[in-house]
Amino acid sequence: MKKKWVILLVTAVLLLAACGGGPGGGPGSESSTGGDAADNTDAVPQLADQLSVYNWADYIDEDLLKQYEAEYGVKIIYDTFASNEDLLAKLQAGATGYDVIVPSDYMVAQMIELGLLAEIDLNKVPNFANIDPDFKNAPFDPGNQHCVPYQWGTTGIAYRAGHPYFDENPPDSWAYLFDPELLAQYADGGINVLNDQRELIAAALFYLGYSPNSTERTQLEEARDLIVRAKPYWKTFNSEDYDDSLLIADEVVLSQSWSGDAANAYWSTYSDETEDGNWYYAIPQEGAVKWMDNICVTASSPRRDTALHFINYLLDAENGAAITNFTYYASPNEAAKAYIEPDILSDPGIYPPAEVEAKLQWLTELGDGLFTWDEMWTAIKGQ
Amino acid sequence: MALSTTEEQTAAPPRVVMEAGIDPLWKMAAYVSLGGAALWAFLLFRWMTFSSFGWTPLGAELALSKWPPILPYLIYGGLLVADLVVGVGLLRGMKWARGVGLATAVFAILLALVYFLLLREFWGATIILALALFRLLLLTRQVGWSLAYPAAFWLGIFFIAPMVVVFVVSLGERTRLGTVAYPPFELNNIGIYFNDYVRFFSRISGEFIYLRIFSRSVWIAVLNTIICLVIGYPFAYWIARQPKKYRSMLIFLVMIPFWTNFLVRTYAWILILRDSGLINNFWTITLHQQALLLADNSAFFAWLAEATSRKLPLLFNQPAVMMGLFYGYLPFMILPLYSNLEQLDWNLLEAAADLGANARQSFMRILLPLSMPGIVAGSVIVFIPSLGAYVTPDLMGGAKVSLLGNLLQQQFMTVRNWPFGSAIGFIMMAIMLAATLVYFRTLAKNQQMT
Repeated sequence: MKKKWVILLVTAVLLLAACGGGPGGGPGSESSTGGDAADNTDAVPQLADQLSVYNWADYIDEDLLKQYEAEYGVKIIYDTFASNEDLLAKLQAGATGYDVIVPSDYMVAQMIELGLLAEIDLNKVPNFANIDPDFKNAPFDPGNQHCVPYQWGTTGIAYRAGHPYFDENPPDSWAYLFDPELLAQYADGGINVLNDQRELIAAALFYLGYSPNSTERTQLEEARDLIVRAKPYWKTFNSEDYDDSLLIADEVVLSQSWSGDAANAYWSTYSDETEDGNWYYAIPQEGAVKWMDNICVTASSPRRDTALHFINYLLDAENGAAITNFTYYASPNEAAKAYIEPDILSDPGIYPPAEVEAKLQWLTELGDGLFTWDEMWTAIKGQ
Repeated sequence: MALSTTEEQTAAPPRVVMEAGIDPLWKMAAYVSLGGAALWAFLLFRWMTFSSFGWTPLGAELALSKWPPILPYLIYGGLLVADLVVGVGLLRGMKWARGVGLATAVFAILLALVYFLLLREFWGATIILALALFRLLLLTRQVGWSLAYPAAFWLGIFFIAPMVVVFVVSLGERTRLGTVAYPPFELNNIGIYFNDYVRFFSRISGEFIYLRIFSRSVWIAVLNTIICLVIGYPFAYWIARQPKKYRSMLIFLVMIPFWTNFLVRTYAWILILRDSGLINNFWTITLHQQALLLADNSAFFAWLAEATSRKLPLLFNQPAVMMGLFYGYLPFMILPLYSNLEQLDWNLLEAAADLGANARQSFMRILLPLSMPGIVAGSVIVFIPSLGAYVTPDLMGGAKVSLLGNLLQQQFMTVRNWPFGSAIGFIMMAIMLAATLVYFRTLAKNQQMT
């Protein structure tokens, strides 16, 4: 009895398998919705049913994502990272499944060289015309073959408004971060620097009058010694949540800071009575780092057309403005300026005037010089 | 221990033949086969109903979809039929079933290897391999190995194999783009593979930067172990001397913090210790105001009013890191100490007192030697994670000072020098292994003594 039953079952399964028509090739058939590279002649591409986006933390107004999902029926899987290096490490370790990523300038150059980014067809991103020509064709991605600009900003100094010392001497130089004589005046209130190898050493190089991308050993050693001398006066190395946990919480009085984080601290502490916030931002006179984050499509993405469609959506004038109104970082989107809040547009910390902008410099890929930087950083952290 | 028994039993497999029914090992093999059959049936079902149910594709299925559509049916169907036949055959005590079972097991092992090599799909290959190997062991009557198999397979796949990978990576060198490359092999130049190990111990532009981080980490780990021991020992002793009904309650209280994630507890400490935190608010506001009111009356309050005008530096410094480590690892010291002290024969202490030993003598000569296994176990369990501590120095130390854990993270993430990171990992592992060996040695000595 039992045996018969088993045989019956086996034959039934085999029969079913032999039919083979049901599944239509199993998940293989799914690739037709995923790999939409074929039909690129249509004005509206056939969109995949989901898209995964990997962005910096707190770097977009998430309502935009919901709106996109509702409008186009594409489910967005949103995930965040804390540094360019995190992003690269994850992609290099073989993480697939990310379609849209947002690396910064020097990282874009490196990712292109590693073959991690797909070439994009700008014809499918008509809103690229909205971008300010100054930000097109950047040195790290000539001709915007791989990426389009997302947001840009500067790295300067944020300081506590109303601090007696800063009221007299508003910080306008990197000396306020590195000069022990100055530091002794206010260091008991707490000082934070960015826990970011490139940014901190670049600031020291600016102060010393060198290029922020120097790979000269003697210059880097000078920067290291400068940092080691100033380090006892610093309270924390934080580049992840310092605007909330240190600035707004009043744990420090001065911090190396990205422009948008300082503006976030300002507006979060803004009071209608005094018509002022607690945190001011300055771009030091020696010069500072200018950076730009870029929207790119990963080489491993099977949903390139959907990715480009999403990028085009972000480059829309009103959407670009919504991002800036949320993050307080400057938008390279010229057309968006009409919708950006006037307070942000007129903030010299976010949109620096021309004479300040002339002193800003990009960080570029260091090549083998990275080893020397790493050595200095290890020595700084090991002290 | 476990290994030696295994060997004994492999040498002489006990005959467990029952009068009626089937050999239990074969019965087990039959169940494994039927379990495998159920798995294949499920996968086949998924494959057939893919479009109608809209399953989320597994890695194996995505990989298989690259092949011609008939192949998955052949693979799933073939494995299903083979497993079913073997399982039923074994349960019925068929003579041929064992031979067929062995053959299919060997075939499945080969299939898993080919499948992995061709499609690089890890989970599918692992599952096929696991089932096939288990059946092979059961059918060849390897009793010891069969019993140890689930744990051994787990260790092999998730511990030994990754270690081999890490070691191989540590022999390479970082290219300009952050990938790993291996220098060409030359017999008289093998040292080149160990450059990263040499670098860790060598002077770089006049300073031993890595050794300094290393020695600081070891120092902090040792210090933390000592503090935990000094505080934990009397505490464990006290619990062990309580009436029995309270003891488990007290140990339960020690373990309660584990219910909350370590990261959350660390952030809680930050909220308590920071400048605008609980303690400093009490210190600079409540206490300060009271002291000010009384300052005119006495010198003490005048001093207190002066002291409370400044915030206490409680966070983002070395003591804060020590505090965080001590807090995190104290229970790991108390638990082994307690379980050791609890089993102690307290009559020995009474006897010592009767024979005229004073408190110090009976502690040094009776309590301490007898509780040595607990002390060593607790110390090893505290020392090893303290050495690799990463979150505590990063969050409570303000990331100002690197320890080994931070150095590792930096090598893998910021610098992307995987070979050097792997080498550091291996050096750390060697130290931890040494610490563990000390533990087992002491334990063995202690067992000889008693």
